[in-house]
Amino acid sequence: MSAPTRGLEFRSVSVHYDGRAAVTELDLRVAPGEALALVGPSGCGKTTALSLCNAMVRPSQGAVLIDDEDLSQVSDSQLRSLRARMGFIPQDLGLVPNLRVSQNVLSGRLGKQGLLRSVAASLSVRNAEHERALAILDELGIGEKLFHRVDSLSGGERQRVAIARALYQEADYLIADEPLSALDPARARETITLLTEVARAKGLTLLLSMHDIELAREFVPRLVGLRAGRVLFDGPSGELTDEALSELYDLEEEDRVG
Amino acid sequence: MSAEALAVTPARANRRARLILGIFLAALISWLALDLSLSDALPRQGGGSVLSLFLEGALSPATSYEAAEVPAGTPPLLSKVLGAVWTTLLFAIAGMSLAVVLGLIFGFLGATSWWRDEGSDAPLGRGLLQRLMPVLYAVVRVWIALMRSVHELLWAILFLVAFGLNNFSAVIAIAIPYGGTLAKVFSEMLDECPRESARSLRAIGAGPVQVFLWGLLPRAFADMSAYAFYRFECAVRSSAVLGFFGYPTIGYYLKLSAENLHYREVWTYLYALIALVLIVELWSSKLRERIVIR
Repeated sequence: MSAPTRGLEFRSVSVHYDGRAAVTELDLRVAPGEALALVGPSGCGKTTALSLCNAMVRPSQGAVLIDDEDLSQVSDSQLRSLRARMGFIPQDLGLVPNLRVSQNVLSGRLGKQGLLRSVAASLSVRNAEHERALAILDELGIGEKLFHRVDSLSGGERQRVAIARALYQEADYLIADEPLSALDPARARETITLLTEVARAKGLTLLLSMHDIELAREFVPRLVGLRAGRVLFDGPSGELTDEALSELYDLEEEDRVG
Repeated sequence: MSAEALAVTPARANRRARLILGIFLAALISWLALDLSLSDALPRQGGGSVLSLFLEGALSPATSYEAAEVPAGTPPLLSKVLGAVWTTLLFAIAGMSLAVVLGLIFGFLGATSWWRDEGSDAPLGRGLLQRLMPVLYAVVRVWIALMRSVHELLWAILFLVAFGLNNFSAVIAIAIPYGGTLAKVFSEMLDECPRESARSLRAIGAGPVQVFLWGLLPRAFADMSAYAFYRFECAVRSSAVLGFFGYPTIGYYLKLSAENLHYREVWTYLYALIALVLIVELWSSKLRERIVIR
């Protein structure tokens, strides 16, 4: 028996929705602490690939493993504790807009608490929890918004609340689906800086999906190009050639393959 | 959707014409079957004078008893009216407090989102429980329909027979149909609210019940409480009407005065009821404003 492989692994994963392939024979290994961005045109399977990591989407074929544990083989409670290790920021952020920032950030702990404990904890929030949430929000530069309602915040601020929730969760992974898509160029640059720096500082494995290839090249060390659900290239962002890029976004080519 | 799917086909136009015709026929048949004639809406012989007496009362509601003799020790009319208003309110509050509990329990259980688990192919466990799920859900929906399909006055008759004329029978007569209505509307509100926060909590390991409480309930909460306040206004009216069965609410005194032909007293009670309903309405709309827009 070899020692368990740490990290995330996709073993020839395919996903079909109603007979249509979203990703096809995806092989991927991500070491702990690595930062990686999935890039490619919309509809190429980025979101599906990210949703496979926490089993929100199940493979039709193949397997997704975390530290050598097959996500489709684990029990419900094991799956919950695996998911609790995966910070997840969906494209729509998944915040509750009519609750306060503090309540949204604190809900990051839910995966690590039983039902009764979480109910008791939210009935009497301890100061220490607010202080920890505040410390995280301060780090992200929106400490003063702790008790504001989420729907009173700007898009960039909401993005930070979602990041704060993931950090409050104390996860090992930070997964963000198109975290920059709703932001203007200046905010986008700020946010990608924040994400990569926070992940580096806390030793998180960072998995992103992005369509802004220039920002991805600049900030994320490893890029995986997806097209029509298949890996087109996988390597250090410095080695990404212009030919590979044009192939990635060449629509004509995609029509032929797709 | 394609253009053909949107176009009004002859079959669709036909169906619409049949529907309109059907509604018209139903109205016509009901009027003919009941032998309704507009002349019945005119006061009968002698009815005219009673009607005018009654309407006169509207202009001069009683401030003291109309009866020539009142037994010694009877409280003044106005304190009796206030007492009736107070009891009416108490019955409404007691009935609603139980109805909200019932509405929350069955509203949760009646929501499809309670039984469906976001992001898992094994909703709420595996095996037997999972196979029983559709059955349990159907049982809850039928139960909710039963609760609200019987009007509170009919429940009151039932509980009067079962428990006698005590306060509890009136309270549950209100609580059951109101609980059923709240459950139906709560479950629909929960099912209609956006699911992305629920999904995102599921994705970070929250359990199904936690997802429901933190991801869905907060989103529906403003609508749910606004609706509960509206139902409270209705409960005040129901509580007043339950007095017709002998419970000491406004309806009871109103009926007594009407039977004694003390129309000015009737109007005093009517005005008191209207004032009560208006005050409750004002108060609840203020509260709704605070909850919904903050």
